[in-house]
Order: sequence, then structure tokens, then C-alpha cells
Amino acid sequence: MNAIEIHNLTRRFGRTDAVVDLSLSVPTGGIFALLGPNGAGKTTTIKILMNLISPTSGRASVLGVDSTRIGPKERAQIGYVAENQDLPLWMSVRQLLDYCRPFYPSWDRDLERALLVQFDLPEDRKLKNLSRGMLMKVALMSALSYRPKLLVLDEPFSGLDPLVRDEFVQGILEASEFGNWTVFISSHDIEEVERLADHVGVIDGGRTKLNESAESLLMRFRRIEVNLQGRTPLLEKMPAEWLAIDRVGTRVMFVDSRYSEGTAEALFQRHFPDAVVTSLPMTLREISLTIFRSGRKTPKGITL
Amino acid sequence: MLPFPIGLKLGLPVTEQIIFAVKKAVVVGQLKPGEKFPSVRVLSQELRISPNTAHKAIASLVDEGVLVATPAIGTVVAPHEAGDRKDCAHLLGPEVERLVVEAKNLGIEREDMQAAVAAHWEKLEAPGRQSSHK
Amino acid sequence: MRLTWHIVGKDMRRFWIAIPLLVGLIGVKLCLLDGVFHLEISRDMEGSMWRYQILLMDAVLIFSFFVTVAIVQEDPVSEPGAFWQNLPITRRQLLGAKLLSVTLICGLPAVLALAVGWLAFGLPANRIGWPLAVISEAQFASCLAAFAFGGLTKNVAHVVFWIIGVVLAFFISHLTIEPLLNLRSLVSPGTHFTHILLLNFLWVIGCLAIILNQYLTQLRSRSIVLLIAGMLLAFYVAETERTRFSVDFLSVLQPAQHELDEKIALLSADVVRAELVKQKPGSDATEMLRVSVQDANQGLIVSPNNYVGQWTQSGTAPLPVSAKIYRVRDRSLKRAVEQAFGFPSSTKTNSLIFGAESTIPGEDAELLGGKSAPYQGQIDLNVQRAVIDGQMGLAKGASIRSDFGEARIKDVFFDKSIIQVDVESEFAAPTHDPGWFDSIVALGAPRSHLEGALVNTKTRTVLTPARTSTGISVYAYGIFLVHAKLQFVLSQAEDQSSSLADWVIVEVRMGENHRSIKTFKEDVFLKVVPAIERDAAWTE
Repeated sequence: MNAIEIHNLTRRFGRTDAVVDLSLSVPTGGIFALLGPNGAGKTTTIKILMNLISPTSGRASVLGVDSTRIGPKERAQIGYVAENQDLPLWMSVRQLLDYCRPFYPSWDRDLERALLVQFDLPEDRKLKNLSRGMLMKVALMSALSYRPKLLVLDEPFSGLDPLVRDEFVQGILEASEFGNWTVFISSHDIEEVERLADHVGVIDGGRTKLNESAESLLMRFRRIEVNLQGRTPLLEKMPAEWLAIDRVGTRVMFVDSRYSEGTAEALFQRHFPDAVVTSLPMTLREISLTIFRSGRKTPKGITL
Repeated sequence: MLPFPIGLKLGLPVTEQIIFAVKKAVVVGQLKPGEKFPSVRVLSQELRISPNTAHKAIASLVDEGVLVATPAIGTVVAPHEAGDRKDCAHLLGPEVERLVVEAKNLGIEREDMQAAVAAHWEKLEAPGRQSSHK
Repeated sequence: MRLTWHIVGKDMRRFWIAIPLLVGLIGVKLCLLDGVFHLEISRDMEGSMWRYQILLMDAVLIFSFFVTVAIVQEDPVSEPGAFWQNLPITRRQLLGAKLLSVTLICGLPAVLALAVGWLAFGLPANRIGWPLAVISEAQFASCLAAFAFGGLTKNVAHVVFWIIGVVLAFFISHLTIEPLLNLRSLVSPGTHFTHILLLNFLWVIGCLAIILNQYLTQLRSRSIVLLIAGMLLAFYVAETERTRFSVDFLSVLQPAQHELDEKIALLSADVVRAELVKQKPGSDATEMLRVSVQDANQGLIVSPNNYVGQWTQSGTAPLPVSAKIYRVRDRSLKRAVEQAFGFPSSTKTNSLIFGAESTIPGEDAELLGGKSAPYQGQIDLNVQRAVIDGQMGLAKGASIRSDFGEARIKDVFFDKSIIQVDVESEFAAPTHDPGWFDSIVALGAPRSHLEGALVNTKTRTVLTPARTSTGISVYAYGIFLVHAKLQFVLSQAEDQSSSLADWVIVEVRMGENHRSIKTFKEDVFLKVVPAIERDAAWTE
């Protein structure tokens, strides 16, 4: 059973379509990264999943329960950290944790203690006197300490310095239970999640662009550079999988989205025997950027 | 601290990078046969990766026979024959490819490239001898 | 249930300090009440006591209001952040917790004040129980509104904006739309009291509806619809109550007004005099004008409006004056009651005489020599119709139930030439000095005040009270509880011949004002009068 399943989800705000016919599945027991530019619909999707707003059409299920039916029982197994936590700033760290504990039957005091130490949080300091990074760590603590089956993070890294980001990730992994525990992160910060994510979903303009494992994604995208040694190429009838095709002089650059060992090289070799073909792996960030840009340049869209 | 050196780079699948680094460490001798291999949890925390990924990497290594799952202790490094030449050469794969591509781009012939490689090898192998040569 | 108390515990930990503060405020208010310490409030003190009462009551209500907003917004329902959105509690639990917290923090102080009053000052519950109950009721209304608005908004500033918006909406509608409407009341006549009750009812129901909707369904747009619907209903109820008087009034008053106008226009020079007289050595106050209106219509009460317009010297710019008008001992009430009962009028003349006191800057020799140019005056007159609400015999327990409320006789003392009646009345009326609370609910209700008069059914005479002492012991949102002691002085003749049974006490209410502004065409000359000649008629 998938931790999260989204089927043809649509959400309209007035005349704007925030999410259009979105379909995604998040397998249980892994870390799923939802990537997309500003306004892509990530936060809207998450809010629908958390039953904070209702979908215009389509449906979603979280931990096997329809998202519109999520109630206290389900919330006790879901952790939710977003950019705007709105924590009660008058409480101290200790008071906040003491306040949260009775709400969750699965609260683990040992984990709480371990996280306090790991995050190096001053127990008796009031939240309003904490820096942003510490505040987010407190928020994360309050969401992790009861070992939720699903941890939903909406832009958790924004505004955090690299040290805090690393501690954040460490905290998440500290609480992880292999196999039974799913993390859903939506982020701009693609580099931070690249290492972490098992699965990647990319959305843009409210629609799904990609939805696959990180590994397969990194394997099938390559940046190809071809040095044609003085010959001028005819750029017609390029395969649809080649994106962002560009030419400078006798050099041609593009992104191959269906790369497998040697295919691009062979193709070029056939027409231009002297050509030198270099294929370079792409980071998740570069792949995402390519997707976003191609989404904008060709309205018809490119099937990937 | 992990018992083998690894620096995760962006752009390549994490599992592959781990497998590669472990194999390298075994070949070089940094990981000794019978040595306890870090658990999924430790691997995931040290490298800041998902436990899933860590588990996949370890499972692959077990599949390929580099690691062995023992019931009592956990995962340990499998015994292997030392100095498997083919393995070693395979480990050089990406670097060699880069060298060849670069040479081709510069228009250097194969023989010249090989000569350059040999020269560099000598230079690094015996620094003391080199200075005495001069 | 355990979680509900957990939330309440958190709120108590944060807001506990409000409890002793409220106990203090309520305690001080109770002390100023005449019900707690034997304070006989005479007419002079009435004004300042009245103000303190209102101030303290407003303080309690405003404080309760903002504490409630703080408690409600502590666990935000409107635009909550991620932390609150994911807490595993049902909306019902949250609402229950908040209701409990507000009740404890705002409601408990009244109970504690009772305890403090009993333990520290030995005041029994029956003495302060009633005023405390009313304070609690008023707090209830205030906290309900705070709960509703707090649940609709994100922070205190927004709550203030919303309140201002609502008040302005009422106010502007009242000024602009209301005169254009010709609405009829749903409820039958004689229901001013009922209208006030209806408004209070609407307040409670409206707030509850918004609270329940906002908490249980979190559909903000629907809450706002409920708010607007409530406001429209309240506007309707408040405004329709008014129309009854205007329709009735005009037909009666018009002819009388014409006559009056004519009369006033005929003021002759020797009746109108302006005399510059110093009342006391060193005083700036001066009598300026004596106006008499002859043949004022029976049954109508003509009185000057409390401030006079302007004095203009012909051809020059108006002199700014601040004037206080006073009048002779008011025989108008007596006349109105006589008229109502069909008794013969006791006054020989039908002139009303009032004087105006004002200051003229500087003393001009020419002015004083009577040689300056004449002045022309402008004065506002109120014309009202007395409405007799009912009558009751002078017996303990007798009561009059009227449109405005109910009056009951607590006690009657008859001592030779003095009859004193202790009356307790409960009625709905706005005051001239409305408290914050009052004005919103009592908007649109006509201004009026109650008077009592004693009527001898045998001799067919009317007595107005010689002395009145009133204690407003409590009030809450438009409904007053007044303890009044009315003293009537019998003339020698009445004193010997009458017994208590001959007398009835009558409740008279001044109907709505009908004002006219008259400009005197007469020339008025100023001259100095060396000796102070105070007319016996100027007694007040």
C-alpha cells in the first residue's frame, strides 16, 4: 500500500488552477521529494493531503484513508512541518514538548531526549527568543517525537543555514524506522534533497512532470555535448527525448532524457564519424531546471 | 565515521556510488574480509541518505558477493581473492573515459596519450628516485 | 475529555493573571454601588457616581472582551499555522476547551468576588448577588462577541477593525438608510422593552451561530454571511421600534406646533428683556434673557433646549456664547398630567418662563448704557407630549407594567405632610450618557425619561416630586434597574384632608422631542441693573 496516493487531483482558486489533474503515488517506507518552482502547486497539494483545504475534483488518500476524512486519529500518526508553523512563542521548549506529549499515544520519551541532545536545544528558553533555525528544529522535534508513520515537510529548509539544514536531516534520519516510515518533502532546495530522496516527483503549473525513483531519474538523463569537428549539423527531426537543444559553432549541446549507454554516441557516429560525443551525468537540480524550462518554451509539452 | 572513504557527488545515483566506493575499499584492502560492515541505520545517518537507499546498496553488495549477511553479527565483508585485475581495471572506468574523451577533444593521438600516462605514473611512483635522477 | 482539560490547563497557565485583575475591578465597582455600602446618592452626586459606574462597568467588559480574544486566538481557528492544523483533536474538543477556558477566566472572578465580599467584608450573597449576576450577564454578552470576532480573525488588531466596521455600518445605516425606510414592526405596540430583549437575544444567538460555525465547520465565508444576516436583523429590530412613535406623534403635534410658533412670534418687547446682572460678586455668570411663551398649549411640555443658539447684533457677526438655560420650577409635567386626567388646570397663566445664563466677553460701556445696537436672539425649544404609562395605588407591591418595563412600589411612608414612595423600576431606555455597551443595543430607541407624579383622585390635584433621590444600582445593555425615592410635599389643605387611599402614583414618560427654532424679531437692549433682583420663579 502506498503511503500517499493522488488521483487526478484538481484544485481551483477563483480563476486560477493551482493543481490540475495531478496524479502521484508515494510508496511506503522511503523519502519522497516533491520538486517544483514557486507557484507550481506543491503547497496546495500538501494542504489537500492534510485535509486543510478540499479538492475541486479528484481524490487523494493518505495512509490508506481518504484525505477528506483525515481526523485526529490519523493526525496522531502524521507529522507536519511547514514554513509557517505559528508555534506558541510564549512557551519554552520544555513547555511546548510537555504540551504536545499527551496528544500522541505513540510519543517516545527516549527519542525526545535523544533529539533534544542532538539538536542542542536549550530546554528552558522561550520560543520567542530562539533563532529561526532553532525554532524549526523545535517544530521538527514536536513532529518527530511520536514516531509518525508519515512525515510531511513543506519547504522545511527555507531560511536555514547549512549547519541547521544538516542537523535537520540528521534529526529526520535519527527518528527513521526503516520500512515503516515515509517522509514527504516538498522543496525548492533540490541539492539538499538529492542525496536524501528515494523517489522524486516534479510538478510545474499544477501538473505532474515526473514521478519516479531518484536512481532511475539520474540514470536516464544525460547532458550530451557533441563536437562535430568542423561540420555543420542539420538540426531537424531530432528525437523527442532530446531537450534544450542548443548549438554554438560546431558544438551541439542537448539533454537526452532517455539515455542508455552508447545510443547517442552511435547516432552521431552514423552521420558524423569524426564527432566527439561527451555524455555527462546531471544533478537533480539540472534535470529539474531542464524540465521547468522545457515546460515553458514549448506549450505543447514534451512527453517524457 | 565509516570504515571506507566515500564522498557522495551529485549527479550519480547514490547506490552506485556506495557500491563503487565499497568495492574500491575492498580491493585496496581498507575493508578486510570478516570486518563488520556498518548497519543500514549507521550508513544512512553518516551519509545523510534515506535508509531505503542504504538498504538497497547493502543488498546489492550482498547480491554481488562483496558482503555477506551473517545471522548473529550482521553484515560482514566477504572473503575474496586478492588482486582481481579485471575488477581493478573496471574501477578505473569513469576516470579512463574522461581521459580518453579529453584527449580526443584536444586531438591528441592514442600513442601520445599512452606515453603521457606512463610518464605520469613514473613521476608519482618514485618521488625519491626521481629527485636522485635529477 | 482529558485532552480538553489539558488545553484548558495551558490557557490557565497563560492567562491566570486576568482573574485577580477582574476580581479587583468587579470588587471596586461593587463598592461604589449603593447596594453594598450604604450610599445615599443624591441628585448632585448622581452624575459622578453614574460616570464611575459606567467607567468601571466598561472596564470590566472591555477587559473581559480582550482577554477572551486572546484566549480564543491562542489556539487559532482562523488561518492557523502548521502546528495547530495538525494537532490531533476534534474541533468539538477545541471548542469545548476554549469555552471552558473563557468561562473560568472571565466568569470565575464574579464568583470569587462574591466569596471575597462574604469572607472579607461580611456581605451576604443576597446583597451583592443580584448586581453580580448582572455583571456576569454583561460579561457573557461581551465575551460572546469577543469569542465570535476572535474566531473570525487572526489577531487583536483585526478584531478591533471588525468591531469598528460593524459599529460604523450600524451608525451609517442609521443616519442614511433609516430615514428612507418605512418599516413596520413585527411585534405589536407596547413593546419597547421587548425590542430591547429581542436585540439582546439576537446578539446571543448571532454570536453563538458564528462561533459554532467557525469552529465546527471552519467555513469562514459562511460565518461572515451569518454576521451580516445578524446585523441586518438587528438593524431591522432596532429601527422598526422607532416608527411607532413618529407616526403617532406628528398628527397630535402639528396643530399645537403651529400655535406655538405663532405665539412665539408674538413675543412683545416688554416681556422680553435682557438684563445684565451679576449674580454673585466675582461671578462671570450673567442673566441675559428672559423669555416667556404665553398660552403654551395644555398637555404639551415646552422646555428650552439646554443650550441657546447665538446672539447677533443686527448687522454684525454672531457673538459666540456658551449658555446654559434653566427654567422655572417645572409646572409642565403637572399640567400634562392634569390634562391627561381631565383635571382643571391649576395655573392661571399659561406662560412658561425660562432664563438663559451666558457670558458676554468684556463689558462695553456703550453696551451697558443701553445705547448699543439691539441684539437678536435665537433659541431652541423642545416640545414634547407627556405620555402616561400607567397608574398604581400607594401600596407596597403595587406595580405598573408599561411599554418600557415595570415599576414596583417597594415601600410607602406617609408622615403628616410628606409622602415618600420607594420605587424600583426595571426598564429599557438609553441614557444621555450611554455607556459603550448601551449605545450599540439601544441605537434607534427614542430618548425619554421617566417621571412620577402623585395624583389625588378626590381633590383632582397633581403633585410633582419635591425631592428625588435615585440610585441606579445596576444596568446592563439597555436594561436598567433603578431604585428611586420620591418625596412629595402636601400643601396644608391636602395634608389635613387626604388619606393615602386618595392618592395614586402615575408614571409619566416624555414622548419624543419636536423641536423648533425661533428667531426673535424683537430688539433686545442690554442694560445694567444695579441690584440683583431675583425673581422668585428662578429657583433652580
